Amino acid sequence: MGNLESLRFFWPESVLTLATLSMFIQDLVTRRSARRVQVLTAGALFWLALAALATWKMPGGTVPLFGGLLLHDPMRMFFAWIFLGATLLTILIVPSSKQISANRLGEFLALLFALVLGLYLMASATDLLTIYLAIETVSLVSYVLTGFRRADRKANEAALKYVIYGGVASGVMLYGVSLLYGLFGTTRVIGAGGIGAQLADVTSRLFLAHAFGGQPAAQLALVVAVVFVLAGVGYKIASVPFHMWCPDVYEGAPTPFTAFLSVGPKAAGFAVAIRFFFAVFEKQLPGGVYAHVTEVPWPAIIGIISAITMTLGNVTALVQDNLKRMLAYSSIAHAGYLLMGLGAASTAGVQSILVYLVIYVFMNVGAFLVVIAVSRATGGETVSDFRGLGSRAPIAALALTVFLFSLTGLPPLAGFTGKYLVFAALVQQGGFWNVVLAVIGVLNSAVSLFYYARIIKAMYLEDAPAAEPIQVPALYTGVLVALSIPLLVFGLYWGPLIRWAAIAFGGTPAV
Amino acid sequence: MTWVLIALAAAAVVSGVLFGLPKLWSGHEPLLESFLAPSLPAAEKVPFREASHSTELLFQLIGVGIAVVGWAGARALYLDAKSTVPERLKATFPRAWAVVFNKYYVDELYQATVVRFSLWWSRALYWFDQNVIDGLVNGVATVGRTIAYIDAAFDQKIVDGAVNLLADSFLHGGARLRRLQTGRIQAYLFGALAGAVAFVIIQYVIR
Amino acid sequence: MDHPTTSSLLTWMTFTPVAGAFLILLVIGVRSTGALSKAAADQASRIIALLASAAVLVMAAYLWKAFDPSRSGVQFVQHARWIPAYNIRYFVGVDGISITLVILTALISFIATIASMPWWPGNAHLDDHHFTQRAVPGYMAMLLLLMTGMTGVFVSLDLFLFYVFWEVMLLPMYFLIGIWGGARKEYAAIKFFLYTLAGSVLMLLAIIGLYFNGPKVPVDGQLMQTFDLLKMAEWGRAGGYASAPAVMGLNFMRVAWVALFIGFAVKIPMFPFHTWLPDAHVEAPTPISVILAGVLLKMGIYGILRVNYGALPQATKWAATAMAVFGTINIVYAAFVCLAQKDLKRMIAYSSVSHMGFCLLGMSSFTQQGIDGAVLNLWTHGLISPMLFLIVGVIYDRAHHRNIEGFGGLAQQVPEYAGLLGLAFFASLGLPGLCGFVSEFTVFLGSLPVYMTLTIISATAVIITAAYYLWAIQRMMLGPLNEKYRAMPDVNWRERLTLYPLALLIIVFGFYPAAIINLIERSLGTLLQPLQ
Repeated sequence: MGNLESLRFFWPESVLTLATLSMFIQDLVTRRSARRVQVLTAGALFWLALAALATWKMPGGTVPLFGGLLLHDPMRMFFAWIFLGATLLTILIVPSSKQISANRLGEFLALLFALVLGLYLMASATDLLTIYLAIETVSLVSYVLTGFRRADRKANEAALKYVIYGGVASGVMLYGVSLLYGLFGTTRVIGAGGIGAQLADVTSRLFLAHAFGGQPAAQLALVVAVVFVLAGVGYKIASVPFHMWCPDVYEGAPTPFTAFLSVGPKAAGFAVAIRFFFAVFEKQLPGGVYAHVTEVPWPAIIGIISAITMTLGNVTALVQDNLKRMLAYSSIAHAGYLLMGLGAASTAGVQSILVYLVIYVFMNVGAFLVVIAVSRATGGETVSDFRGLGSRAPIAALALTVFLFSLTGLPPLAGFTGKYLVFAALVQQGGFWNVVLAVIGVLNSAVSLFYYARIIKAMYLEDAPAAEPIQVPALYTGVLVALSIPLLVFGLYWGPLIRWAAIAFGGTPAV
Repeated sequence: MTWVLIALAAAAVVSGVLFGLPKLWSGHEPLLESFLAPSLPAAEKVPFREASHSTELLFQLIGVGIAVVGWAGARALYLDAKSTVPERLKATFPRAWAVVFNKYYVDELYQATVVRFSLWWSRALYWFDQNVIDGLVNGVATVGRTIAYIDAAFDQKIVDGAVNLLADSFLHGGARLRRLQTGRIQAYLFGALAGAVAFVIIQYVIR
Repeated sequence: MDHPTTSSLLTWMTFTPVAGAFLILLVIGVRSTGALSKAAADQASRIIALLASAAVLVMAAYLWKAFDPSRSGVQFVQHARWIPAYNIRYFVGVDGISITLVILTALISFIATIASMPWWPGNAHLDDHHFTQRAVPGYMAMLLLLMTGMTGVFVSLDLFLFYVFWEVMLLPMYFLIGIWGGARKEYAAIKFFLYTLAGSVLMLLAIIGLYFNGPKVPVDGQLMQTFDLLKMAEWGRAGGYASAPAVMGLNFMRVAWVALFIGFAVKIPMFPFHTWLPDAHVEAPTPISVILAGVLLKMGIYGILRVNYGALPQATKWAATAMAVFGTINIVYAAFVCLAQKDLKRMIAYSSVSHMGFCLLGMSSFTQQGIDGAVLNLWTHGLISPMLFLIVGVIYDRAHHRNIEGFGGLAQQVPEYAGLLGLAFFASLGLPGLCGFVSEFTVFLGSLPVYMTLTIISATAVIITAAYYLWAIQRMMLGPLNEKYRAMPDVNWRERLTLYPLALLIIVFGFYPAAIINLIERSLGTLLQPLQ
């Protein structure tokens, strides 16, 4: 579809672009106003609502946009709602967090919208260059937002590490993209003449015996190229061995942004991974199973990455004291669990990732919100600052308990829903390595209980260092309750989530 | 006391006459002769022959005669302490008299042999019982307690220790893994690139 | 659908405690606004908890009366769709295997609730740090949640629902031990939680495996897999799981059996997965130890009977000897460990480990008496060991320590307590006339023909059981009175309310175990058929 016709499907992104610009202008205009924070927040919420409306009004169906650079399909809409939800939460959290000063709030919000625009693009990109462009948009804005507190040394260090690491990762990815272009003559991933189509067609250039110095050489080039592209994607979702930026950045960035970072770009990274992986390297067979069109055992490699990621994330989190760092490692571990769904190479696996991501937004943002609430009152982010929270801030403590047990994956909370679906996808596929991976996954869940329970232990089983209650803003309490209730509900009532995930990918729930 | 004896004697005579009068004299079986027969069916089978009346009369006379003779002799010797025969017998046969007087030393013999031995045997058995048998029992108890102690120590240190060791090893693993995160960006980049290369190699290994 | 809904009694029994917990949450909410004083909030929570558990007990009594033992199928069924996409149902019902456990849960929960009440006014032995005075609404809410979880496990006939209730139980237990427990409560609580969770996550994989390899049932015109335990049992009996693809190169049935068994074995607790129990029992407050020993330990055996025996009979036959050996190890090993204990509560905790070994031994013999004895042992142990822990609770509340050798001659000072202690100890060591004997004897009857050596070894371990109990009585109760306890008060009315009912039941079922055996026999017979 040509550029002009595609604009019809590009309303949300257009709104987000306008929002960015408008927030900058609003920031300038309200610079001296006394109620600057409220006005800016209201403005941001207005634009967000507009973007939501635009997303809502999008027609259904699957339509390639801009000559194949983007794809409009139900999965794009699914991820759009995840991004909007995460953004809403961040906009609500930031003003009262005491981490972004009032005179810089406008910039923050503007940049946030730019980031969301990048996320939207990531979720619908079907061309390698668009993928790269979207990832870079997200990354660049993330660097800035990480280092937003210019006076904070930790933030500066985190931002610098992020920039360098992200730069290298993007560079590596771009190198992989270039190799793919060399092999296939196009950067189109999905669609006629795209990489996926060429791989499935044995008469295409790649498979000719004399091309590229012979089959093994072509194979090697293909593998290297894809591994390098996946390096870029893996960096975004923070999986081993591309995770090392994660703890430092999560710890250094302002916590509201960390909360957003842990869910938004991660979800978008998975969107890219799903599109790239499944569209290119797996041919869908009946029954929702995928067979790879090359001889490379990609599900096995994903499985290995997943196992290492989970284990490293969980085991390293055991010894962390700083809560933001601990949650960073926990994020790495959850990336591992999500990758299991990818490794199952089936429709059920992808649907499980989608459900898991929705629930993950609630759990993770909620957990970070409590961290923000405690740090704004006590100034501390370590486990010992949470001691006695059960009596000092009962609702926050209760909410955090719900979030942490949900992150562990205990029924009847929604975290169990996500984990169950991932494990079910793996077991359904069967096979030696899938079962081994599932066993590693469940054991990791048990291990993760320890560090989540450590926080709960500090909150309820230990005495507070000071007796006075912690003041939690009413807005935060409201948001915490609003985040906990779905976790309790979706733990028992899976229907809507499953239907929604099925609409996004595969059409029917895969059993 | 004498009246009691007289009463008993009279009763003895009466019951002898009532229950034990021989057939010879009464013409029918004495009452007590076969009163146990119903309880002893096997007794029917013991063969015996009835002796003649004269034999029975002879035995009755012999029995009564010896009793009368003895009675008469004792009466003559001891009735009123006037007879000197007992003293003279005693002076003539002092040792025999001593033996008879001391009831043939049966009691002393009994005391020296059976009683002493029994007491000794009883004490010996008691010692055995207390020290050997009960010692074994206490030994079993001690063995039981020792096994218990070892078992409890095993459970505490080894079985539970294994559980705690497993938990600790996870924590140690975490501490070691934590040190991978050196904080130096160069290390991070190296890790990323090395990892990417490693995955290229892995896919060939697991083909 | 098969097994249509016949009665919602079980749903009421399961969820009444949760309703109570919600009410207590409201009480907490009102208290936090300051409208309610601490004392009033505490009393309100206590009353709500008592009422909820009493209601469940009344329903359980009705259930017993209304249960028809002559039918071997499930009764009081409630069946509803829950997650249609995966054919997960809310399917509850009782049959002979579970009815005694449901009733036991109701009874022990009620007794534990009474035991969580502070002493009557006038007995000033409790300070503000006693667990019955601290954070009472939270305690009562957790207790009620625990009740829901426990009842839910026993009535679930959908394997997914079973798993959810199984896990739901862990959370309140962690808090109950970790907040209101003894000196090493945090360690004991996290150990219990981690250990049980590690076991049950393996169970999850086995459950998913049973689901995918199980029968397909028609649902609204299409065939779907099912979590229905009864259907899985039929499928297993018919050999359906034998044709499942191999897992990691091993027979699916055996792998699934072992994975499930490990999860259940941690709960039994079976050697060598038992070491969480002494710590959890010792550090938990008395009513929680009562529930832990009285009900939670039964879930492991119940799970094995329901899932392993039900759905995987061939693998059960394969594993029978191993189960018997481990049962014997439990009995003997734990008995010896008891003998070496100086802490009374730890001794009783290990004796629980020992007695659960009888269940394993009986179950693995595949005889009617063996399995009857095993399930009967669940009931009798479920009466005896709560009484034992309540006994320990009485003395701990007064003396603030549990060192057996620190007492002496207490029978002179607290004769009623000594009598109850004697009764409980004798019941546990298997004195004929009390119910412990009946179940042990039945188990031996069943297992002797099949595992003669193991049964003989186990029977001799009964002597060790007698040894440690009698020795404890001797050290604690007999001899000269320890001067420190010259003023020790005897059992008060609250304690009597918890101890005497149990004592009465122990005596009654010692003479009339037929009441229980009649309930369980038919269903156990049906369970046993494919194994004989």
